[in-house]
Amino acid sequence: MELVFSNIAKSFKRGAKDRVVALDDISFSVAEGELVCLLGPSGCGKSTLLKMAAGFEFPDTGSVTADGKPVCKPHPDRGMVFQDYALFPWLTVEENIAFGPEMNGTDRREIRERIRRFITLVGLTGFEKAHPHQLSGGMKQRVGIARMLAMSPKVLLMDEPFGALDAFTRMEMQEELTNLWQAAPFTTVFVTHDVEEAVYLADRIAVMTSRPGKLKTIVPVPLSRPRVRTDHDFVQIRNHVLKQYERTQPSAAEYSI
Amino acid sequence: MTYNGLLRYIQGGIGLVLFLALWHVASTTGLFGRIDPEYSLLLLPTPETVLKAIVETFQDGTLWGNVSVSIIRVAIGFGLAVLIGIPLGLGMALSPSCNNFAEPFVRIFSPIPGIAWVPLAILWFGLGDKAAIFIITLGSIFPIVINTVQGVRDVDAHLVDAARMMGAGHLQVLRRVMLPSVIPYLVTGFRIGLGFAWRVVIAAEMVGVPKGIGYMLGVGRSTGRTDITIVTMVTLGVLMLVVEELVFAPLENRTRFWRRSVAV
Repeated sequence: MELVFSNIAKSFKRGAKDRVVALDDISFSVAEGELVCLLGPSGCGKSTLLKMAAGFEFPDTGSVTADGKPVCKPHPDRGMVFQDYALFPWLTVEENIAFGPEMNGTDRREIRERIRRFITLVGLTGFEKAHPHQLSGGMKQRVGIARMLAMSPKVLLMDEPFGALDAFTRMEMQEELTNLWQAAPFTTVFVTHDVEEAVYLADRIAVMTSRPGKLKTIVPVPLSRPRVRTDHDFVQIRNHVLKQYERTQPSAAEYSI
Repeated sequence: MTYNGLLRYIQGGIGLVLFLALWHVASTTGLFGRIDPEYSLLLLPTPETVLKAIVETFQDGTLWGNVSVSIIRVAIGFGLAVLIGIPLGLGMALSPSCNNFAEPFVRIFSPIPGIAWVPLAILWFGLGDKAAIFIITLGSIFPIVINTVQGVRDVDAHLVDAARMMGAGHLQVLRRVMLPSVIPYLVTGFRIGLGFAWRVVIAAEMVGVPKGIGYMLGVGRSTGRTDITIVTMVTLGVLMLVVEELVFAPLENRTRFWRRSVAV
């Protein structure tokens, strides 16, 4: 499935008359089977863009289309992974994974089969009957990913999925996501504020800046996977991305004493 | 049983035995020599007398007769409060107009103790079950409404998003996400509401509504049978303990385990 964001603008109300421009004329597309990272500081509107792709929010002007059809509400074709996991705390791991397939009327045997397959895939065998509060952050997010994959989506939308994890678990999860994605290259939009994460995962990085949220440039990452974070090319691309955030003119506020 | 569990029972038991011993001595010695023992035996009958009264009132049926009357009143009144309170709370939480209509009433009427309705209720419905049920319903409905509203408002928006993303419609969101989130709040509302219901029914029965636990308390006083008054008090305590242990504690364990472990 191909996602196209065209001329997206959105502003939010602040106070009685004041409006804050959150997203300013953003256009880009994500090709079938491509992994694009939306990178930017908090407040640049990257999560808002992702929610528009999911169908939770809508642009003031412009549109998001999935295979040419405008996105107007959430759909199981577009699976989302949330930063805070959003697992149902009263359901066990397997019940959480079964939720999506149950909603679209998949038959029982097929659901059992998917639970087994995706629990194995994300390495949670033995935790089928555990509740989310008994799992670590990394394990919760594995459930989040398994749950999303179990509804056989066509697009993966990931909203800072590893943002709440410690650095080592995060690297592990990035590696596993890469493996998963290489085995089955889904069209993926991955939101992050971590430059290294973006360079590690993405085919292309959409570099966004804040206030107002703008798409500054798109940086391709033509490196083969698995990527090595200390490689010369990796570091060069990372530095190139970081440079996009250097201020061309020092802001007045920073130097006033 | 673990060591701590055993210790809990032993120490609790020792405390109770000490209390009963102190009580016995106080009533037989005229509150430690302050008054004539004849009076103290009347004002504060010994634990043995109370035990005898328990057996007596149990055997002649007055205890169960009165307790069952109160239980039925509470069951009907509280049942009505639940039947009205939950839909009202859901409506208030989900529809702004419904909230705007109902909120002033909830805010004005909820701080009025159920007992304050007793005089009007007796005038309106006479001295009987109807008056008791009316004030029980009024006295217990607000905690149910308020907790339902709070429960729905506290539903994690991300969970609703996640369910919609997985293809859940409105009804499925309500049943599979809202309801499980709200149940722990409902249990809290029920517990507070039921506590209010008991207080209110006893007050009503003490001031005139015939029969029931409160009535029995009053009779104990006016006929000089303080032992019966104490029996009634003990019965009330035991009744609440049984409800707590058999109904609320297991219900909370089953519906709240994930919430509690999040909080701790």
